[in-house]
Parts: sequence; structure tokens; C-alpha cells
Amino acid sequence: MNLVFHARTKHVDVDYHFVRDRVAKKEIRIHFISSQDQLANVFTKPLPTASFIAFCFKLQVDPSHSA
Amino acid sequence: MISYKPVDTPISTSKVIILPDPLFSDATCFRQIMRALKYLTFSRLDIYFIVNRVCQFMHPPTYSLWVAMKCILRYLKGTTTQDLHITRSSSFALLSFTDANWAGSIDDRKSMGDYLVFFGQKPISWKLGKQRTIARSSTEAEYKALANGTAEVIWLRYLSTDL
Repeated sequence: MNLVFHARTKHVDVDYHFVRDRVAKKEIRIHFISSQDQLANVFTKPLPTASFIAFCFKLQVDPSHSA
Repeated sequence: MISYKPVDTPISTSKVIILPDPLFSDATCFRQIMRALKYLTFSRLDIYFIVNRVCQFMHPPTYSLWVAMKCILRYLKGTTTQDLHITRSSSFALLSFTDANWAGSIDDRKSMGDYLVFFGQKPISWKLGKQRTIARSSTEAEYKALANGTAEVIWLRYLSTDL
């Protein structure tokens, strides 16, 4: 693999190599997540009611379980 | 607040926080409520985003922030029974979601990055914050968020092996 970055992308290299290194050591696995399944979406922008409720359900912020 | 009608979401998708704006008169009252809301985000991930957003403009509080905060309170009024319920889970997988909002901060055009880590099926760690440097592309912003999420997962991994 070519580990050399060119000037235009040099600023990403630290983060890139950090993640790449961990993937190479098999400590983590990276997957693509489509926006519909992206749970972190609820932290980045205001969502319309329907998708907001769906995300809350997936985040397990449910109506109280009577303990 | 007792007479207010509940709303479905804590934030409006159409309105944005605009600066400058007339100042809100009772800053102490505003900060006290925001402090309580910040504390509540420990068990309510659904309001984490908007509370974080409002907290960025705390000094000095403006009228539109006060309106945004009232919207959160109205949302909470309708969802008082919700909470984060941690139960026994058979899965021990650490799963992290990371995302970035490129140039999401309207004032300085810094990007917002966040991660959300699940242990089994329950979220155990999450963070949303402004990235320290200005990303020149959305890919760069996503990479930074990915690196932060990775660091958190690796730390949690070491922690779980120590237990």
C-alpha cells in the first residue's frame, strides 16, 4: 500500500493512518452505513418527526419499562 | 410551563439559531434550566443534539435560544416516561457509529463530529463536539470523526478486557 500522501491531502494523514493501522491489526472493522441506518445521524442535524421517532426507538430511548 | 402543549420533536427542522439576536433578559434563569437539561442528557440521548447546540451559544443567551429551549421543555413534557433502559444482553460486541456534519457550525464553519458506541444493544458512550480544525472537505471531517470514534472503541476495548 502506498503510505505517502501528497500535499493536498496531507492534513488527513494522521487520522487516516491511525484508523488504517487499527484495521490492519484487525482491532476494528469498518463498514459503510447508509443514512437510514446511521444512528449517529440524530446527533448531526434536526430530523423530521417520523425519522426522529424511528431513531429514538433504535437508540433504545423507549417508554419506561415498569421495573 | 404547565399549560404548554407537548411537541413531537425537541427541535424544529426549519428554524435555525440566528445571530445576532435580541438578548434574553433573565440569563441566570436560562443557565439554570440549561444546566438541568445538560444533566438530563446522561439518560436522554434524544435531546443530546439540541442541548449541545444551544449550549454553544450560552454567552450571552438570546431570545431565539430561549425559544429553542422552551421547545425542548415542551418535547420533554410529552415524553416524561422515556429513559435509557439498560438490560441484560447476550451480545458483547462493541459497535460504533460515527458521523460528521461538514461546516455544521454556522459561525466559524467548523465541522461537527460525533460518535455513538453500543455495547451489545445498548448505547454506552456518545459524544458530539465541534472539531478543532477547519475541515476543507466533507471526507476530511468524516475521517476526523472516524478517528475519534475509533479511539473511543479501542479505549473501551481495553477497559472491557481489564474488567
